Amino acid sequence: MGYPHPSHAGEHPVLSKHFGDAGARTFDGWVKRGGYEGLKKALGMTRDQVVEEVKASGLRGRGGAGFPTGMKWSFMPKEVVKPHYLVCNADESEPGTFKDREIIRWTPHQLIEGCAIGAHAIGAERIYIYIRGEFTHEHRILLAAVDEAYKGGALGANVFGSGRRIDVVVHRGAGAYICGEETAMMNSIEGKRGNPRIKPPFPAVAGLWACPTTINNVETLAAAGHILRQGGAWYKGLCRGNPKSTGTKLFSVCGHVQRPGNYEVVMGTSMKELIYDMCGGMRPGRTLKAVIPGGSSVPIMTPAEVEDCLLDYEGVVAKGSMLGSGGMIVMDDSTDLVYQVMRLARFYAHESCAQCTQCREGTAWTTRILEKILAGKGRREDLDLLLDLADNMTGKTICVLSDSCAAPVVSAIRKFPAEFDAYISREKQPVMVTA
Amino acid sequence: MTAIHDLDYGTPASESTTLVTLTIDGIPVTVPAGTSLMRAAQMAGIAVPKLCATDSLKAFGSCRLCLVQVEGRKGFPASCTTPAEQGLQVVTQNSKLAQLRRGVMELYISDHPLDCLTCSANGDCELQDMAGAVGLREVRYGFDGANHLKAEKDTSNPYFTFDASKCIVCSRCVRACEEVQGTYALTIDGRGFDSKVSPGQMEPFMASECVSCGACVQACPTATLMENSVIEAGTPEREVVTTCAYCGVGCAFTAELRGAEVVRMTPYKDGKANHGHSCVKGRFAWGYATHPDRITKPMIRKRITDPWKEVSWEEAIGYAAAEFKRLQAQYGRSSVGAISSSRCTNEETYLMQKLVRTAFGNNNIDTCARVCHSPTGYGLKQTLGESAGTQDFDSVRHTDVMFVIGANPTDGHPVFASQMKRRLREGAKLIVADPRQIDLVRSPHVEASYHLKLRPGTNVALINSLAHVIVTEGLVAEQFVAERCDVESFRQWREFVARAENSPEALEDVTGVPAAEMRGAARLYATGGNGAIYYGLGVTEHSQGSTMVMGIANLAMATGNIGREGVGVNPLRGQNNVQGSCDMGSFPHELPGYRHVLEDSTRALFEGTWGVTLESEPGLRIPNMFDAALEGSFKGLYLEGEDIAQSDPNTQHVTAALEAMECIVVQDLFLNETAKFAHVFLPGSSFLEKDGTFTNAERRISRVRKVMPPVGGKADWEITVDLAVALGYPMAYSHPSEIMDEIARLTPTFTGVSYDRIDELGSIQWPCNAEHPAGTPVMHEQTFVRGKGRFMLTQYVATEERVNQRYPLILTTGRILSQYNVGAQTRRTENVQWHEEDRLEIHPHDAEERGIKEGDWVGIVSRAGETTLRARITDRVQPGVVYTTFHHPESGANVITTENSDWATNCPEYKVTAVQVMPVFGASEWQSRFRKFTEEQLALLDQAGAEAQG
Ligand SMILES: Cc1cc2nc3c(=O)[nH]c(=O)nc-3n(C[C@H](O)[C@H](O)[C@H](O)COP(=O)(O)O)c2cc1C
Ligand code: SF4
Ligand code: SF4
Ligand code: SF4
Ligand code: FES
Repeated sequence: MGYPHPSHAGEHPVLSKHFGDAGARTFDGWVKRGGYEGLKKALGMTRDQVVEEVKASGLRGRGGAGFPTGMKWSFMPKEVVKPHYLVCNADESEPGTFKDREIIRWTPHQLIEGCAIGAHAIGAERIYIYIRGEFTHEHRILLAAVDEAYKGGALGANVFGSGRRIDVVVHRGAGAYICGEETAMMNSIEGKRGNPRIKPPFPAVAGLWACPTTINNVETLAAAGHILRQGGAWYKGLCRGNPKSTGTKLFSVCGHVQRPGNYEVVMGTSMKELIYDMCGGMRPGRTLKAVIPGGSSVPIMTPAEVEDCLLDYEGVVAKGSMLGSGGMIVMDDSTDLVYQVMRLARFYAHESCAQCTQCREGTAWTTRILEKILAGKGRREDLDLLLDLADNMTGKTICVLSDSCAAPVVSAIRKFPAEFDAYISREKQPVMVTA
Repeated sequence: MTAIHDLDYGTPASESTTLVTLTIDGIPVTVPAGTSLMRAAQMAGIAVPKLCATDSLKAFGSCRLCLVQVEGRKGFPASCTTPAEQGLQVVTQNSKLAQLRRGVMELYISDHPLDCLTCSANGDCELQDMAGAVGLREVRYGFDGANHLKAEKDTSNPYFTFDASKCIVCSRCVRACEEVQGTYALTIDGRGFDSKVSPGQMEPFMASECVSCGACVQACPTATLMENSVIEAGTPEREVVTTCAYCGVGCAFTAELRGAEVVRMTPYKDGKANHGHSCVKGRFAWGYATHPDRITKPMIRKRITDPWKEVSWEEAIGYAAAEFKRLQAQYGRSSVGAISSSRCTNEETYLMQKLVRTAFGNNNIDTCARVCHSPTGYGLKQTLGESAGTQDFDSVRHTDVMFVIGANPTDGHPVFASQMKRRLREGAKLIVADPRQIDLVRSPHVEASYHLKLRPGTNVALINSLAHVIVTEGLVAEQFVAERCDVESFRQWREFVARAENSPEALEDVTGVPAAEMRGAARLYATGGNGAIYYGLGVTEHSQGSTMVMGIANLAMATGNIGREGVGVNPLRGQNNVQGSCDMGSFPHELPGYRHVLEDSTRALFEGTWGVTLESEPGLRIPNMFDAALEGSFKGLYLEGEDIAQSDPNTQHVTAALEAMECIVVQDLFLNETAKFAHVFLPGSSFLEKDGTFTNAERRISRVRKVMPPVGGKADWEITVDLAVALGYPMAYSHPSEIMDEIARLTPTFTGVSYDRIDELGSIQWPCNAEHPAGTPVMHEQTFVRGKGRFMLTQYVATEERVNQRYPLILTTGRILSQYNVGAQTRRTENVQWHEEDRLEIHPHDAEERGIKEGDWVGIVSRAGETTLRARITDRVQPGVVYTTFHHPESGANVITTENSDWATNCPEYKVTAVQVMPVFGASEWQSRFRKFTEEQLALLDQAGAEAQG
């Protein structure tokens, strides 16, 4: 079910089935709706069996990178020598992405159940849920749900009588996008500056407090309960022909569509169907100009690329972009792309952790050069400089924030050269851009 | 930055024993697994450009200048963070990499001042080097973008300047403060382009938690953090490796010079005690060496009320010798003696005792170790068989449980404290036994599992109850004890500590530590893996100091925590050469190598070489000298580097004794407190002005090398030689190395030691002989030095210094980081900015009861005397306990300390004095007299200068 819009026939609500249904928020309400069945089942299985079930489902990480979840879990040491940790990434700060927020807001127990299953699967006794600082309302809901879950036996020293101990610590972010990056998040939880860490070592070897750690996104973990309850095979069946991308995915659609919001569809659904059928297409009298399909960190797509794009990991890559977090920013023909790209660059420049030279100085110079172009002071060499800089910012840094800044810029210059030309040739009125 | 470039491998060495072979730019190289590609490349002779990496810090991977390509892998991994693997083929140079690196440098320089020619780091700047290395020619961004060029300079620290406009945000400073120093004073504030280095929370350095260790300054690749001495004098041209003359850590330094002027002291990377780190004293507080207060001409006077008269060396030494001879003729051979200092080199202290034993013909030689670690010598000799700590500092890297007793390493032994903290951050556990909350108890990323806040004076009760737990809960390392220790002594000890009277429950009212905590701590120490005890003067300076040292050794033996890496019994020596001065026979009953003067064979050995007959009766200890002086039988004293009038307990008693003597010869840098009572002043030389060796707390013998000529014209060893000759005993040495050769000939634990051998090995831990040709990092490995380890019974006896209604508080004393002991050196440097006066720490409860507010003047009265200090109200001390430092003479801390002392060695009970504290308005009577006397003496000194000119 979508929220606040009514569910569309093209949707396939699994995670979002109870969005808008306040009754699903409580422990009892969740149990009444079939909740915690998946966890109980998991507790009756060995660690390996749970991992195998999730592997069989084909579930991939919903935080952006799409890494197979079962495989990630299997990297955790079989023997628990040091404590193992599960970290749930609820930092959701990617521009244009707002799906995890809804999961927590309506179905906090869906998340807690998934977390507990994940913890069991990786041999962890403690889960940190790192929630974006601005989610004050959701934070309250989550705390209340954790409380109830302890009382209801879903958390604590002896989860549902299984003898397993599982605890949840809810940790609030303090307003830094970079803390959504998994290793920066671990630093942040440890009380350190949120700098991404060098890999290796990978988190499964030395993560939080230098102990084996797995990090998963809210949506990823929320799916686990359903997979355990209904079976990996059932989940894998939810796809449109591409066995590499299975299950349902929440898309947060924003921008110039008639009905923005979260839509849950089966992987492989067509992008056009989502934009035009479910979201009602462009505003009256407007046409599509561009889409950023995976949050703000991926290349911009042209209408031609959108035309026959399938919404799954491989489908979007085939069209020159990435599925990312599933936050779709849709822009119509009223959009000034140079300006939008500058705004994105400015976001990344503000959020850079500043370790890497290319990112610290590069995001700032990218922003400044784009501002200069917008101000009508650009030269043609500036575009070369931007592209050269973007090359140095892509695949050269500790984390991919730097790449994320470069991707929209490069794709905009390559795919929409006329927009830049208009400013450089002084055809277009300069824009005031002071921050 | 350091000017004289050691090869920087970029990342620390890997400790792996597995080797892997890879090729770098076609050159095969074999390295330990886990070595970074950058380090491997440097080992193959290829320098990969780098800015954020330096081999004293963990790889951080932030500048992205060191990117390389690896055959068969995609992308551009950073060579500093990528580990070498078998068979990798690495390319460090090609046109793509060159383009990327130029791109990075271009970004740096777009936000950097272009004033290289006038910059203090010109020629000594890694940014400059890298711009050259990557062939940067243009900056396409221009220079009119936003930048940090207007950032303000922070000059709050007296020793270094922080010029933020030059900062490249490489975080080397931040990481040095965390990884090397462990203070966590720095962070990067803000994000993105606005990121900047922030001391504390964007405070000036001096207002932050910074302790001015200088690690960040050393780590900074640019001129952003720069020593003021270099800013003023310019970059150094040459360097001399030497050893710090402050605390017992014994850090190795390179003294960096420009002409004959020292412009910087940089901790030496290859120094085995400090591994390239130091504290504020060693690195920065060396300016005293050229302070105008230095006395550079010999002086004499008949009476202490006479003005000083500058004379030639010959006259001064002739006068002193004649006086000593006169006194001996008049009052007997034993009427003169000498006190040497742990500040002096081994060679100097050796010569001092030799002079006393040969030229004076008695054994009246003592040393300041009397007042600090004499119980260590006694206690460890009785139990383990050798008067020295058992480990090297690096041993702590293998320690699982550190037990710190009566020591405050972050202040007293800061560089070793940093190493301890590093290990603690890795997960080792910590137990602290101290009446006061020392820093280690809780500091960034370090927290003690147990802080046993015992009452001062109850150490032995504490150690007995810990032993009780170990014995009664079955935690004894039975096999170790059976194999290595004297069984009968163990049986007796076990029976003794197992008695109910020694249980934690029985003793908790005595120690003030809850029984459960004592039990927990004992269990942790006995079962937590490698347990190592580190202790300081809080153990020794008590009426039961020697008992406590033995109690510690008992505990280590009973738990098998001795004889391998990671464990041991480790006295943290206060001064640079406490260990050495004890080794060199500076005690009245011992010849070098801790051999008793009563032993005929020992005396015969020395008599053979020295060509005199030696006195077999032990001589006077320091306190006996004072008593004898007041009695009238002790008349002449030769002191080198020791200021007894300030450092010894019961000052009024000491000064009365000094006044009663007829010839006091002081050899020192400054007119110290004792010199105000002296008749002959011989200008001594600082550690920068002479050759010699120091032996640090880990028995490590390191070279002190002459960096500049002695300002008084003679090195200290030469003065002692001249005095001996004038007294009629010939000494012929042309260099201190010959003195060491003589020591080596006469001392079994030193037979392998020579200056050449030290130069070869860097430093040597004694014993160094045929059995241990490269020295001995860990002692008692197979057997104890005395054969079987001996358990000693340690009955707790409360000190006579008890609190009562009149003296209801216990005063205990200590020191702080920035000042060194009596402060003669550090008070003459900018270090006073951290500690301009000694203050009395008092618990809020006790303060309130007495109506004392922060900063108020308070009078402190003991059975011995009275002084005044300003109060600092803090809950670092417990109710009933007050605390002060003793760095400033005027404070008169030792006016209040009593003459109680260790039963075995007479080490004074500095750590326990019953006192009353009350608000007052003015200085104490002693302080008024002190001021007046000081004024008079300074006037008499002025007359010396005036007369010489006139
Ligand atoms: C700059 C940056 C920000 C990120 N922010 C988020 C985020 O807000 N939420 C999230 O789930 N993942 C975020 N990620 C991805 C995480 O690093 C990580 O891949 C993810 O949490 C893994 O979970 P998954 O395997 O379940 O997708 C971010 C990554 C980067 C580089
Ligand atoms: S790429 Fe940017 S955000 Fe990521 S680690 Fe480097 S500086 Fe930080
Ligand atoms: S001087 Fe030492 S304590 Fe101070 S900031 Fe630098 S590294 Fe940290
Ligand atoms: S002050 Fe020096 S070490 Fe610290 S970040 Fe700046 S340039 Fe690097
Ligand atoms: S030296 Fe490797 S990234 Fe800086």
